[in-house]
Amino acid sequence: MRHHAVTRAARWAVLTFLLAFPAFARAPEGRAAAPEGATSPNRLAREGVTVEFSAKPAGGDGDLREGDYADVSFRITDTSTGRPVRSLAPGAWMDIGQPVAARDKAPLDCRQKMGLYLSGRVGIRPMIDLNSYYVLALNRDSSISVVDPHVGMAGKTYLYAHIALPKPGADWAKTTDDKRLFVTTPRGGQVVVVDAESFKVAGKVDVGGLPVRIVMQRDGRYLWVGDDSAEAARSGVVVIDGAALSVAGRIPTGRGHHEITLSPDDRWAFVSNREEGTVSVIDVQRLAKVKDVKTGLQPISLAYSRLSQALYVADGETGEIAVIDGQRQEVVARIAAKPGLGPMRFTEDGRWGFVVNTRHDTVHVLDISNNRLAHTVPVGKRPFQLAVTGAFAYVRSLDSEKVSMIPLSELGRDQMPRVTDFGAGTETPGAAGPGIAVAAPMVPALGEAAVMVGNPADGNIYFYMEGMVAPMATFRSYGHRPAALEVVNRSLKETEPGVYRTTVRLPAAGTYDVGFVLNSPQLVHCFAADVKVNPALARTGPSLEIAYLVKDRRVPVGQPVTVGFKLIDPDTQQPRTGLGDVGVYYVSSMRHRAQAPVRERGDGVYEATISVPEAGAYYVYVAVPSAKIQLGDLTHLSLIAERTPGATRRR
Amino acid sequence: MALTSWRRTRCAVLVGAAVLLVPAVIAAAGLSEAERRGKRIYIEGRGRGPISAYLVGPRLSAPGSAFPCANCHLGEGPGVKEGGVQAADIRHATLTKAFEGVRPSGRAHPPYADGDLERAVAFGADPGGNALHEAHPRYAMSPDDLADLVAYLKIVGREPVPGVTEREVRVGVLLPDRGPLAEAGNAVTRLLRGYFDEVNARGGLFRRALTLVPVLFDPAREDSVTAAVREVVEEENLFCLLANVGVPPDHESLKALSAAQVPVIAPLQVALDGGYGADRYTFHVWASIRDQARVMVDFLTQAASRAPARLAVLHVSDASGEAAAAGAREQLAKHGRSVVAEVAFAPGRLSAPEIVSRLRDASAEAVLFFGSGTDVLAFLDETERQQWRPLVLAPAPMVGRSLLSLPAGVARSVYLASPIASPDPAARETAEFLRLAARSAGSGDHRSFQMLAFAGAKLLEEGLRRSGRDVSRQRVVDALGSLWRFPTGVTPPLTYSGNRRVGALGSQILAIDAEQGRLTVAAPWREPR
Repeated sequence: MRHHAVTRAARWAVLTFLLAFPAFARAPEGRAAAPEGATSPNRLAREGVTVEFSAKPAGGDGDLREGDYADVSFRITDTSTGRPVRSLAPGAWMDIGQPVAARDKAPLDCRQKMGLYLSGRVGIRPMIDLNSYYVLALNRDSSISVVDPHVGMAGKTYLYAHIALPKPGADWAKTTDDKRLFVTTPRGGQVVVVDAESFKVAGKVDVGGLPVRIVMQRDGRYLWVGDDSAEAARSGVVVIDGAALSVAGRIPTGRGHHEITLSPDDRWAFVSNREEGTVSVIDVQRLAKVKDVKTGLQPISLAYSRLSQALYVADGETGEIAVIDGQRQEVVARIAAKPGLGPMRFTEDGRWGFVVNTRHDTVHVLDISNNRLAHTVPVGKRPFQLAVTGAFAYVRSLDSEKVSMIPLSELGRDQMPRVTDFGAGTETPGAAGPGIAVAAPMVPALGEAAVMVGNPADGNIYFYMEGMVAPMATFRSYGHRPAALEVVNRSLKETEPGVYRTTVRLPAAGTYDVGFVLNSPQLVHCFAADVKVNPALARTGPSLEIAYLVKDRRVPVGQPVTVGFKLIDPDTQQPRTGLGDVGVYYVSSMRHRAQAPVRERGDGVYEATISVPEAGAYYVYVAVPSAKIQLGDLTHLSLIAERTPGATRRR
Repeated sequence: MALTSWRRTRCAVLVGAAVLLVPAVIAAAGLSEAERRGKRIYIEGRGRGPISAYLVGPRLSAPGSAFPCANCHLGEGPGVKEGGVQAADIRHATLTKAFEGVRPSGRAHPPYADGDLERAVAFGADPGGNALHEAHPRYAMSPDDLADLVAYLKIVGREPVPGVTEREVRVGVLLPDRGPLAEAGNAVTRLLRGYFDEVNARGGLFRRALTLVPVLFDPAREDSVTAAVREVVEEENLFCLLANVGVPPDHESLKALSAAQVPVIAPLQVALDGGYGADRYTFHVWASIRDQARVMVDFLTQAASRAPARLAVLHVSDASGEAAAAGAREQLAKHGRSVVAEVAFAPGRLSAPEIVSRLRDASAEAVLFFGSGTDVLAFLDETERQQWRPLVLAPAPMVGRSLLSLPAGVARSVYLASPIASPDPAARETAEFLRLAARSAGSGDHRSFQMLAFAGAKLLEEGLRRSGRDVSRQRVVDALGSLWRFPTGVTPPLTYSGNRRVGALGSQILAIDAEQGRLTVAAPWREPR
């Protein structure tokens, strides 16, 4: 992951230089004047390669329309031989060049915009990044929020999509190609199938019982669902055929909650039975249980290390981690820790293991090479979750608003690893009360040394970049409470030799600039795509954006002050004019509240004159009922009211 | 005595080795003859008869050796993704798995059964009758070769690893059974045994213990090393070699080890070269002769108190001398400098009066000397006789301790390069080394040998830790080959890469304190510029 981020950064650096180079600084070529070598607007032949751009409605033909999903692809071939050019890493962006509302204005320069995106400045992002990913939040209510983190980092949360589930979800699993997501709903006795390209519910599988944990095989053959039913005869796993999405088998394994993991070759499934103190071994080929291995009193978490070819079973009661040889399927070692063990996670390479100890407020670090405890690291009170990136193990505690970080580079030495932390919200996860989700509330971000942390108490998702002292961005989930997070990759992938493809949702109608860059051969080009207005589109986010035009936020008490602001269409980024019912309210911390009349100044600019009676902080809110914008939907403006010298003090 | 005669024979052997084609022996422990031949087809695309590959896309025929299976399916069979095409996982367990619906390969088919592998290789069809991806070549080979290949395909990724059993990893060490280095060899063995005992007491590595297996040879007999190496290669009961003592760096038998892909870790010898083209399977700790020569040049051009303008290179015409001279030339070119004279002499045939006159006539102010201690003493004697005193620099590993007894006047103009750096006294590993060394001390001081062996043991342990339970020689070589600034305490941090098989590239420059009979540091350890 990290490596990927580094190479990408390097590539961008080269291209930024390329764009700054005089040869590329020539006047913008209008799209009418086709660049050299291009024989059609969607085809470019230069530097020995031919790039063919295509954007089609996902799964169909016809016009592209706003709000719909589009298949975007670039076919790259060798111009002289026609052979596909493989293993490239193209970058691409889509941005509105000419919004429908502004057809008569001069076109914006695509190349200049691409230079800005490539420079990687914070806050400057294209409308659609084709090298991006989405963050999915499994909410405590019956829904999933889909957030575009890159738009979010530009300062405004972009809720990309919202998926309604029939019942609250507990756990989820995705296919290796990130195209489908499977969510267990214990109260509905179902597994809900979500299309992770269109972000819509695509089906349901009735499994009955109490489905909680869900795991997908690497080869996609089966989905394994733990059925935590109280009846002993039923409690076990339900196996779902990954292609047919029908129940392929039910295997009772024993009482209690079930954790599930598979051997890396998908030959064996291991299912824990919390109230039996056992782990059941299932032959995936025959869908039959071959044995139960007694591991302790209360197996609470499982992890398989590819490096040591062994299964590790943490026991909450005995405080031991039992090591089961992957081939012999018997306990070959026991690592003694302390009672109170909880979830366990391994590093990507399987070299180190981490188990939280909820009772002792620690994390035990396992050296997998010799099955010994390498460290016991103090962390925040009642640790309950772990996430591991290439550089850190992140630990979330129920009674701490901080996330502890254990550096992997300091493991295995004599000294205790130096633990650092960052705050993810002001409320502790424990303040949210118990919920049903068992899926991870923390997840590493894709292609970046970063992690996403969901906070069910304050409803926010925090984006933390390694090396910073605090989260870099916060995403609101609009009243939902994220219990678990998942990341869905949407970057351009080579799906057949020389064809680089992805699926995106088109946020607005208009003519899009499609920026395309290639590092080797060095190529920068702008294609175009037309997106039609979609009359059937129902808006999901606020229909306006606001920018305050106030230079000095300190205002004098008792004197009239003019507050100007600009209202913008969030999709087209064009000013909204002619809104007749814009209201301005100002509220003081002393609960003074007043309304001021609003005047339109043209070009989306409105203003109101207010007069504040007391010194102190005031908050200005704007509402536009006709655009369904209520008080508090738009960002507010804070003002500090001060007494001017010589003004009479009222008693 | 023994050493000089050895050097002469070695020289003759080297000439022979240059024209000898080393057969590509592939270590294949416990494989049947058919599997062994099949493995060669899988890895190299060569069989008993001709093999050709037909490429469906471009409609081309090519020799099988241009498209061997391992190129895309990899040595262990999991397959690599390249250009959007995922080469199939062809491990037998995967192919014979029952599977409803579309497999990760993108096709639906029944499990592979008898005859199906043959059809896939020759006709490009899976058991369901689907054509394989067009990127997969169709191969033509004799029925015998096809049978061999299929025999190997059934075990690819699961073949036994030499020297690795359920409970143990067997590590060899080549040692002289007599001669001046025999006691050093014993000291190294004692240290390594102590090290392995501690690793094993901590639970071993991935449920296996480390076992040290000494392999002895007679240093007086040229063919004794060859026989010992042959035993290692053919018996296949050692995983790797660690801290070999007394094997000359250019011994021809080392090529057989490399051809058999036996990892050799921290041999107690100075490499000739550690960069591009160096043996992939050997991991040296200290700088090669070539890199030592580069630091000597840096010292002369930058650090020496009186930087001489006119430099000469004098080297013995064996592999070490040539490598050193090449390093000196490379570094001089980097500084934009040239030499006033470069003279080579045959081993043991230094004609000092003639060469000294020649260099003196060329007005050389400093001489980079790459030869034995005897050679350099003869050279210095002659410079005194001709009343000419240039600066002389030589690599300590080539000249040994012979210069410590020089007269004080001469000694002041002589410097030595040494690749060895002082241990980091604060490092935890250094304390560990001192503890082990104290426990394994014998007669004589072999501290520097033991230090190198300790660094090698650290490397081996790390390589095994990174390779996991499914250890293989290739995995360990790949793991060591990507180490970056790996701490051993007793050496500078070690770094290896695809084109670098020397862990610590630098050297220090030593001056001779003739009164005290010891060496002092003239310039601290540093890497070549």
